[in-house]
Amino acid sequence: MSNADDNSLSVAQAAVAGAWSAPHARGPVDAAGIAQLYEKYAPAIYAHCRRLLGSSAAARDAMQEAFVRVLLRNRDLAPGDEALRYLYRTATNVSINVLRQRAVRDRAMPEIAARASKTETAEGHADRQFVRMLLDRVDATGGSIAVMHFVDGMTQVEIAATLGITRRTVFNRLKQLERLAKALLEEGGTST
Amino acid sequence: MSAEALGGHGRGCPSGLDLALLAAGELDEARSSAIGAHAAPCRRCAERLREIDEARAELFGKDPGAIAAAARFISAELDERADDPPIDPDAHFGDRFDH
Repeated sequence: MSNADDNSLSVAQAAVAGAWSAPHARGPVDAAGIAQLYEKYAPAIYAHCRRLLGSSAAARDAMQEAFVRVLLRNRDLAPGDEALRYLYRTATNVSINVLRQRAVRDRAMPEIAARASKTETAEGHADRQFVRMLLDRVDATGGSIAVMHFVDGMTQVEIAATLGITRRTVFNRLKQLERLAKALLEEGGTST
Repeated sequence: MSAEALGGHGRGCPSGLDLALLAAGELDEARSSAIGAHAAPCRRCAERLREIDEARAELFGKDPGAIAAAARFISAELDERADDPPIDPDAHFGDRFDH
């Protein structure tokens, strides 16, 4: 990433220039580049993770993990809508991992789960409850589709493009998910 | 069954990703105007945009060195994991992220 054509010094660049000079030079994304991406996209990614996870600490960890994963795979990531889409999708997957791990933990330690549920805020609870309910019963792709469609409101075309699958596959999986969710709701699966 | 009925996204609303793109200034003018016009009177979308503003304030508001510190952390993680087998950003299982 080069800022040579940009005569203005961003907050991120100024912060890094003043506070830190690191030897990280294996790829085009240097300290200033990371700071620039973080300043621009971290708020949206953090808010997305917090909505899914319901915890500021877990959301911060998930956001940072998403940045690390994306930059490990793409050292020359430049700011732009594709960068945000990539970060957003990765943050979704990292958060799904956390939700799955929580579900396993909660099943193993019901008393802790009960205490945690009492401290959880009502806001966003329905989203997370719904996601957890489905994640217990679907594969990884199904979980991603569920989050992207039901929680995040992405269209079938957007989901297909994001996951690299056909719209027909998304359509079919959504039909399965809707049937599953309907059955679970009828069983009272979201009443807890 | 709608996502709205499940407590999630409202019918007719832009996606969370679209709102994130709007907040980050990554939409073209026409798309930005259309989503902004929808979001202003929409309680759900306004709430999502407010969450992003709150996140910005929480992440950057109090500590002027917060961005540099975060970049330093991420860079250190990149260094530490540089020789690890690559992690697929889309991976769901078997990764090193654990809570």
